[in-house]
Amino acid sequence: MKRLVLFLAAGCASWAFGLTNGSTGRPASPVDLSPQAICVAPDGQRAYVVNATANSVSVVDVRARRVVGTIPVGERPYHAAFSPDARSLYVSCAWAGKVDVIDVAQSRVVRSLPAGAEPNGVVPSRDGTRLYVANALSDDLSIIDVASGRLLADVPVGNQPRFATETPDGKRVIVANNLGRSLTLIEAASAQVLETRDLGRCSMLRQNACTSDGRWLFLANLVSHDEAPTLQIERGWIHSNGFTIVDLSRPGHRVTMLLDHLLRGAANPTGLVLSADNRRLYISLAGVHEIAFVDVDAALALAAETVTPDQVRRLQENVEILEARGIAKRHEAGGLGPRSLALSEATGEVWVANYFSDTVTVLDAITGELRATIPLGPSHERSLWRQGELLSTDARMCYQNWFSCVSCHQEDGTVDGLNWDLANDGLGNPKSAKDLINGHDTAPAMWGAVRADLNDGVAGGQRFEGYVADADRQRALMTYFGNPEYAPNPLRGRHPEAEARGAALFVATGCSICHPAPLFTDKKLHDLGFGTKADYRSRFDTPSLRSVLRNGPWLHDGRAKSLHAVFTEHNPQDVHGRTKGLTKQELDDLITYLKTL
Amino acid sequence: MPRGNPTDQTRPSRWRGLVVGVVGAGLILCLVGGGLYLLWLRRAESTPALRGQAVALKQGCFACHGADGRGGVADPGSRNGFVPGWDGPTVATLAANEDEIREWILDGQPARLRQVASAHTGTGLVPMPAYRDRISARELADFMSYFRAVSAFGVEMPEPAYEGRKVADRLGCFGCHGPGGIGGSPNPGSFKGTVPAWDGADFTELVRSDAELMEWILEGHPQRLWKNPAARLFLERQIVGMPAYRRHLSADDQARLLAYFQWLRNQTGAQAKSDDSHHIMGLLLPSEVAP
Repeated sequence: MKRLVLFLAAGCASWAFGLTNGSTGRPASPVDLSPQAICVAPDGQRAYVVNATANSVSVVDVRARRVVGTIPVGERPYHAAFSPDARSLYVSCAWAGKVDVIDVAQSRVVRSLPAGAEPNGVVPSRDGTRLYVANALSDDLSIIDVASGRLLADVPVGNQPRFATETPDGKRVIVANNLGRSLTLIEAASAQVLETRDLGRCSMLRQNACTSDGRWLFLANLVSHDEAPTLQIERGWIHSNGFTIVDLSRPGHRVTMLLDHLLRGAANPTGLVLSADNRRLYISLAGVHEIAFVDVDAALALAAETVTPDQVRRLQENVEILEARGIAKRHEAGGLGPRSLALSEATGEVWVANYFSDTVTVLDAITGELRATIPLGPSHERSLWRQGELLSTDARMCYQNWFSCVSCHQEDGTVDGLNWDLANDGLGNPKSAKDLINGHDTAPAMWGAVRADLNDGVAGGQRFEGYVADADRQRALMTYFGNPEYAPNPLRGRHPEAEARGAALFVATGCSICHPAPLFTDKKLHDLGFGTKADYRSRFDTPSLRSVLRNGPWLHDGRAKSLHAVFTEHNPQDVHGRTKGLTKQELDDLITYLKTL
Repeated sequence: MPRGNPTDQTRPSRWRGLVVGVVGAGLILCLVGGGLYLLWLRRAESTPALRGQAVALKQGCFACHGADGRGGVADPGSRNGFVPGWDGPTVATLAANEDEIREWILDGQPARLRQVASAHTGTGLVPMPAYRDRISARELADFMSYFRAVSAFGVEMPEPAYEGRKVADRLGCFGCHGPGGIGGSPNPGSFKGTVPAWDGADFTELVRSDAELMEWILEGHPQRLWKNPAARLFLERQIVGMPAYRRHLSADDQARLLAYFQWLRNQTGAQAKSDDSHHIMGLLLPSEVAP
């Protein structure tokens, strides 16, 4: 009987998965390349561009400024880095869960290294023996022995690590936790966590680099003012944008500076590269399609003036000082969606990968002048879906360009892990940013159901960015968010027996009543005692559990920091599923199943 | 010498007797009729929810699920150790819809859970009995009205109304007015002998407008009834008087309560409409005295 139950539960689960993942929203044609990352070979001859949605790497001749080859790689490549001897290029393949190793001489993938769930940033150690991989979904750093391909250690870090850096002495690895508002400093030899450095209001921690003396770390990030009601866009009081300087020799130290101008935001700092002489820092501003050129000496001088916690806070809120002091200048990227950049030291150029233009642009590293635009493939008209994807990242549709949809919902339509106090449901009741990938078929929208459906919510989002909703933009955005791209779930099928037991518990404990497959929501409001006085309401919209693993922290105000906590700390009345009395094994099984949705 | 017919002397007394008899009988008839009429006026209200409550009492539901299903007795061996209460959130973990509630009652468990529940929710000492052979269709329908009032499970309620229900619950209204305001709690000395329901026909007699409803809630009685000697008699001698909540209700909460009442009255629809007794009662409780 027990086997029959497990079999039935597994059957139901497979049926549900079939429905939820039968198709992806991205149109099959035209094939966008979506250059996501770029690196220039140490000899300066070739640039390698990672094409996220074409599953390929384009090889570009630096001098000739043209594509000379294309190398197929695994699904949804995200980042790439050269081995110290420059013979290998490591390419993380986020959806394939592996790192492809390209033999540069042969221009092909010669082997693959296993990684964790959704590998993002790759960092070869300076001695070439190890590879560090930041796994964004499994929240850990894989340390891989390159020679044997063996996994040496999985180090748990913060929420959604995307990029990492090794210090020049090879002793430490610094991991930027994209949603964790923190850095994790790891001792390379022992794989032990040395320090978790809090970064205050910094969010969306992206690319980072360390100076050659090992003292300073530079990190591209947003500053998100989730402590205040979202009533004012100006002066970056919702999001501001810049970079953080971390003194690695002083525990706890960090200073954050803004690349915004008083009347013009610098939305979505994403890519970052430091010149070999440590004097120039380049940061791509993906939301405004610009590159910020930073004078490192001047920035460090300003950092040295910033000592007390109050000074750190005031500098982090100062949207004028970098421009006023001439510490940073912003230049047009020459393409749309610059997510990554690299330096061609030999030619004195910044090479920029433009995600939405399918081009690489070449800028003079001193003047910012556009020297060349290199198309990576044949040009084609953007589909409406692609236009929507572009708009979702485009801060030009935000008043004064302070932020874009992805400033809270990321490029994959998920969440930023923060509680925001929106004005559409009264003030003083911040709620967790809700994902946008589940909005299209689970109306109403928002935790308090203050928007009738996704269409209403997207129009509200346009107004939130400061303008009356525009019909053309609405159509493109609805085409994009209305047909979302669901990333494959790498955890599905890893532990089939536990998943089947969890699926049975999902029914037995009553979870499936309000979260029924295939949407995993009944689209109704329920009162489970989660409301507070400030919420002005007792009932909240039942969220879909599709991709629930990506949407933490959980519950309407993010009070549950883990899925376990949802059922232990935050289910005292035993009404959010009758989970009281579950054994540890049973709770683990239930969570295992939830993570596969 | 006096002249007269002896029959002339007896005729008036006979007529008088007849008249007295007829009048007396009429008076007795009037008294009996009036008494019966008063008894009829003071008859206990009977709504489906109140009948359903009687069904639950008769079938022994409260023995395990607690009074008005507010929380159950210990159930050693079950996962969480107690027979579940009938509050909406708890019910929502056990039944997907009202049909499954009926399955719980008739069969002891919905078919959906039959295969997984025993393996994963533990086997308590107090299993839910199956009432299929012990409850009529009419009784089940009445019980479901009562259950709906207790749990609000599966009831689509707009937000202000739902929040109004929460306010009523928080202030203890349901303690006297019954779960969901179904009424029926004994109240010796009152006109009907029970605390009035919010969903029945009597409500329309006691509450003529939203303003009057707020008078009841904020002051404990409306001026219209307080100025009426007959009504005041009952208001003053009833054991359980309506409290005045003025100091305990914010303007927001008043609006929420009002929204709940409006929703409830719309839900009860035909049942809540004024019947003929309203007009007859009008003789006793004339609306002219209303402020």
